[in-house]
Amino acid sequence: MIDEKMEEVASLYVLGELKGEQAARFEAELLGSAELQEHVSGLQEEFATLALAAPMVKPPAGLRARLIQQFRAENQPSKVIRVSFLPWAIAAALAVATTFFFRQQNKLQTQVAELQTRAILAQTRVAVLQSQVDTYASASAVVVWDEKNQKGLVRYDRLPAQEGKDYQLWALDPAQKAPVDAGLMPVSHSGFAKVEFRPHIPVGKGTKFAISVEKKGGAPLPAGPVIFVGE
Amino acid sequence: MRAVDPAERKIDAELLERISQGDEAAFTQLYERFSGPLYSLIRQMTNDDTEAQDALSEGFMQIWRRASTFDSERSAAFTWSVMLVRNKTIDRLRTRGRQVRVRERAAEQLSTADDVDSLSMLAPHLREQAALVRDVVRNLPDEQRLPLEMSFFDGLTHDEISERLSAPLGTVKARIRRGLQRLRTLWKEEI
Repeated sequence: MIDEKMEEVASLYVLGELKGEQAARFEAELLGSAELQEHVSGLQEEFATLALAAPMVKPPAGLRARLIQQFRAENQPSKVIRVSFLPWAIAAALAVATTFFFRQQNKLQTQVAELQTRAILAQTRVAVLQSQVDTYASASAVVVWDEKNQKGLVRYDRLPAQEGKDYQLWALDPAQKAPVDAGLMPVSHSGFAKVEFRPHIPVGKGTKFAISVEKKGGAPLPAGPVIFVGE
Repeated sequence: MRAVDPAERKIDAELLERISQGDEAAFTQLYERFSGPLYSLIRQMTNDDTEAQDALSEGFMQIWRRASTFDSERSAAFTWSVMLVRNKTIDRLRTRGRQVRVRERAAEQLSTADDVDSLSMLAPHLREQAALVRDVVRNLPDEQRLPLEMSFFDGLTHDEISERLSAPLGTVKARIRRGLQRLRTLWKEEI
């Protein structure tokens, strides 16, 4: 049963009024409650239908052709990328070595501790991804992972947008030979975003997560620099 | 409550699934189904034809790139697309210094007498829904409709709405919440 207080928080969430820690808490709650998910999905649906209240304007005729051309161009089969997994091995080793060398601020630690508490309740795991590159030292990324349902949420902050590049999330499952694509991570103007993800194939226990910088649209296997790795 | 017809939800979800596999025909079909309402939404948000065209292109490319993350059990494809395009448009507005036009919303009814002509531009399955939502919005008291529209179409935060309407933050929050609740009730009554 969703109480009135939670209904109010859900409304604020749908309106985009929850930020940072508040949003992370709510999302951890959301991952663990089918009832709350149903409620939020209903609210989003009602909110989104407001789009139909706008006066109808037809898009220009030429726009469709231009878009399809763009779709066709970007949808060319990707070249097979030969990847050395040495950088990944180094990155994983670095992640272990930096266990005692957290760069994240106290605030983030507190946030993670709170998330962990909620995540345990919701049978999810929270992973703080450690920056591997000085350029991203001020950025932060946290993954909330629900192994049973094979879905998760990645929240990141202060990731700079890069022209012609995309950030891509990878699941590093010890049972898999190669990193598993877990999707792209769009970056907003503010550098903050949260994205739900599902690895393209199921991953098992002990999976770690990593973020790399890839060409626009992502890559089937990691080719760019690894900027974050975490347990 | 489901505002989108289940049969249409299924078609849209299948189109997104095919788009995620690079199916051009599915991309074209989804464009035919959603481009009208999405463009109208962006046009309303930006008040600028060129900006709206760029934002629609960007929005559809995002729909394609993120189609594989769509979960049909969590939302309708239309809802997902609207939220994605709206968020991208809000980002654009913020990037260019939030030149959101301050609407004379009290005098401006979003959907007025030209409903019949206007709705004929929509795909058939959205016409009835659009007529319904316009009815619902019209029936909201101005004090609830205004902040809700400012939140949805202008992407303004509660703080910004409070400032623009010269109303206390708590009042704005309460009105938006009541507006959403009323929207939900009216939807249920209509359906």
